Amino acid sequence: MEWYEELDYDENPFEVNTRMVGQENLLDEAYYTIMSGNILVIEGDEGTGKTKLLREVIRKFGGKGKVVYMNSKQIEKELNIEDIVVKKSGFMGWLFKKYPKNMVLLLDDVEKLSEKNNERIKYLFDMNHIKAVIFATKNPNKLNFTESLLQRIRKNMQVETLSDYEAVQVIREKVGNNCLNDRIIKEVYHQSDKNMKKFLENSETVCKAYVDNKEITEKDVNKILAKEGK
Amino acid sequence: MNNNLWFRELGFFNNPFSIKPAAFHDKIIGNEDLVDELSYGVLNNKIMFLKASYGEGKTTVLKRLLNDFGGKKQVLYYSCNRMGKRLNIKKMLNGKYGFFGKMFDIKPKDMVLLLDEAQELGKKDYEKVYSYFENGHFKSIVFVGTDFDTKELPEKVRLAQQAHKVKSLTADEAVQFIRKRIGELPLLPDEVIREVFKLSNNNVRELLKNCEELCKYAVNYSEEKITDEVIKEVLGQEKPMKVAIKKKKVVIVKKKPVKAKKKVEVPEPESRKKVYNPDDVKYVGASTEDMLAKDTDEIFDDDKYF
Repeated sequence: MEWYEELDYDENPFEVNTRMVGQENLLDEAYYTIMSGNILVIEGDEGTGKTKLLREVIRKFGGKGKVVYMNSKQIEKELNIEDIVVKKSGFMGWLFKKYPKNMVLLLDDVEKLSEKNNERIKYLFDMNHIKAVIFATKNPNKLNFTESLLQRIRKNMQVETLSDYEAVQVIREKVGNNCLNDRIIKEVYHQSDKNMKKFLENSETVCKAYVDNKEITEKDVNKILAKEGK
Repeated sequence: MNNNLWFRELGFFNNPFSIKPAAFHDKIIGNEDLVDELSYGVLNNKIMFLKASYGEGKTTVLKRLLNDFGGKKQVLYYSCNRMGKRLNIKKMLNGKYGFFGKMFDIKPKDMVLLLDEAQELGKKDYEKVYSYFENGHFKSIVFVGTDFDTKELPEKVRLAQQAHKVKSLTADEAVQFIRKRIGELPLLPDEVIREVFKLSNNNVRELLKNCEELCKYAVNYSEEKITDEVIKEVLGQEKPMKVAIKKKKVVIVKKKPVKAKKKVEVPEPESRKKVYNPDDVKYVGASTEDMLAKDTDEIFDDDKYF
């Protein structure tokens, strides 16, 4: 019997997608960027919720065949952004080079953007084939934006770290109010250096421990996590 | 979300300050002479070079030409930043006749070639283009780019060329330009546009971006008019220019002591008390297990729970 079944969940609650907590500012900005047709750069370290944010954008604007989401890590060769946009119109589109209009381009985990792609994005953006672009990246300085693209970027935003209270909310979204009390969650959040990915992993281990022993306190968190580390 | 957009509230469907070239119309303000000269040249079989730096309206001018001469399958527009290593003119020319053009290698005559971002072309490209020009496939050519390397140009091209430059807008023209997009909007008086234009280093794209920022702020905070204070508030903080960053740092240093003083005067900020803190509301006396054992109604009746 898996640990979560004891808590009456059918599947692991930490693997279920839930609503975004916090970052309202950033989310608003992302929505606005797409509605008004701009370019936005989101900057944030690993596991701070960049991909989550883009997913939220897809949920809002997706479904009409207008959003292109690219995770550049999946691709080994150099990608050609023009191809990706043209592919939308399918085989006939490729045959006649029929370009779609008003696409939204979401580029996740962009580490390096070649000069050619810079220019391609610029061209497609200028010709209104692409309406809005959102880059999510660890370090925008590494991206080598060319001057002409740099001028078109409206804003550089940074992903903010969640407050303690928001971290608690994240867990409450996932597992509900019944398991783990707030102080334990906060302690776990501090132990994971406020990194979301680590935080979720750690809370899962703590949850497992909670199933075995329902009377753990925040003082035990340290031991549990240390054990797991070994 | 849709109702909160500032431009929807002002009655525009799309963002009126879109920075895309020729987003809504192809009227050109300030460079009418240039367009006249260029279209004269196109009609009179000339090779022309148009030079301008970023955001001065190169593509806008080209789009205007495209609209003027387009429609008769006579104009070839190509943005050179899309090309691979070399410009493939033969393919472009054949493309006019579709599949059969490729098959039988038919090339049209008397085309007008508009090349955007031509600064990336090499010597060979120029020579190729010129040979097609001599054979009469091209009637006239317009190269547009930020900078042309004169060494790369073959001599024949250099002799035949006509150089043009895009003039930057004056403040009056900038006002006209914005008015063309938004009409007589009481939110944005003429003086403000002038002021913002100055702040944007006379760059039109920067001007559009800043105007967007200002209008967004003004609508969100329901200001009736954009005043100098708003300009300071919005553009003082978020100016992306490199020079402004240095200034910004100084401002932050000045601000810090002021904040510190305020904190001393007010020992306990009241706003903190209002914020919900999960630790304040504990499940008094009822552990999670007890709660689970009870029915929902019982829990809601239980005073302890609240």
